[in-house]
Amino acid sequence: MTQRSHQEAPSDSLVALLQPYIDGELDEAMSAAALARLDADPELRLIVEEQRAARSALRAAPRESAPAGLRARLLLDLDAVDHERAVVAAPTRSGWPRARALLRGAVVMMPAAAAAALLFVALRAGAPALEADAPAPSLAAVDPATDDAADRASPVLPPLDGAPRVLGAAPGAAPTGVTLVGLGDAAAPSEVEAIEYELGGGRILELRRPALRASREGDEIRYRGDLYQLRRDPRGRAVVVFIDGVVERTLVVAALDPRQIAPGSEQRLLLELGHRLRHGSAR
Amino acid sequence: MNPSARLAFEESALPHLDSLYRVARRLCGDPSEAEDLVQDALVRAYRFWGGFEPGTNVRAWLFTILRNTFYSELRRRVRARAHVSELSNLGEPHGYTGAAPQELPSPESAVESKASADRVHQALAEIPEDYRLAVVLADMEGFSYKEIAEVVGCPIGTVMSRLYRGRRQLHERLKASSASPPAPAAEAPVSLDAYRKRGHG
Repeated sequence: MTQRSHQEAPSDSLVALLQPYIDGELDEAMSAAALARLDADPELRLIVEEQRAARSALRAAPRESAPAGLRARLLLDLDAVDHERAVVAAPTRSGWPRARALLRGAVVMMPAAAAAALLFVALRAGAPALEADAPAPSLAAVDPATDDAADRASPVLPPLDGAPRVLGAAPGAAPTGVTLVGLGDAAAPSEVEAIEYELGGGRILELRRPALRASREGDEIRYRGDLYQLRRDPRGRAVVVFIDGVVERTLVVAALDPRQIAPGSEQRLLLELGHRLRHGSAR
Repeated sequence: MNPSARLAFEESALPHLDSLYRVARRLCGDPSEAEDLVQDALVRAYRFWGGFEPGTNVRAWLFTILRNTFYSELRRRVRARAHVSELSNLGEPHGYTGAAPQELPSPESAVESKASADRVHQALAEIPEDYRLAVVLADMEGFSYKEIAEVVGCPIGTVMSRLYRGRRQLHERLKASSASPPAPAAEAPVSLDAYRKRGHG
């Protein structure tokens, strides 16, 4: 048998014999052959020892677990994918059922349209001209360009004079009312904390996590003197993010009561809650 | 996706979340980036869940997606870095290179690096990605050669070669970090039956 320097790499055929021997992937006959080869070659024995030492070091290293917050965020992402697919799939209804639905709608709407036209004519004839309509509530009830958006109160604002009520707070667990179907009861403690609030007829989810990275997504606005980021999540829900000391706090509308909250005012609701959380009047 | 498919995905994929995170952690280094990588990979896997063939190895399938997502992101970053480099060559004010500042190790991390686990992780981070992935999958996650070959998309012979080189470089780095790695345990080679069971776990 030829002796080789320890620095010299073994040939591919030797590696093909040694590696499966080290990892226990040889059958008995091949394993015996490899062992015989090792007995006769101290250099090879040294290589095997090194390989085993490296493998033992890796096996002895502690096994980390995924943060529980990752699981919760992932499930929210899967919800978003489901929602996205449902939206895409909805218009695919076609053919006769769709035409029938349109006809049914037309039959219902025709008398209503006639009544509206009559009313319009009567008003035009007998009443003074109407004032220009108030602007429809926009999706962004808060203008990012203003220095203090609270001064531009929308006429559809909910009553916000009550203190927010905390509905549920469970470190690392999904809050009640949020679809996290895969999150079991045994969620491990996490550095992400989820809390759910009720405020002005809306249920709002808050996620807190260490502010490790500066997130620059969305529009940045100033509300009552503090900075917030406004954006929409993949499901189209309003999201407000702000940094509170070393904590990144994300507020997202989980549910709205349309009787109390007009469409388009959710961002203002989130900003108001953010302001109260920041200044200690929420809990 | 219908609720039963969603349930099937969660039941198949979520048990591998810890393992995916550990491998992502070794690939990325940074914990936040590892979380993002796992999240992106699993959302991608969910989008393609309809294409997964039931009865085949879901673990290998998930890790293949994780690896591909990692390399896609890496390529995107390399392109972005090249773009920044081009911009910096256009004549920035002196002193500014356009590159991110080098992070110096904090005193805390210097202290922590004395810990054995950190030494192993540090040594791992220093070996080439191809070797690192093979070694991590085999030695930390218990993948068989066949599974690793499926994940990295290469012949089993290449897997063995990467394992050999990866472990050797790891051993050299551990030795160089002034404390020798734990003595090799008196391990008997795993039986072929045990390997087969492990390979399809």
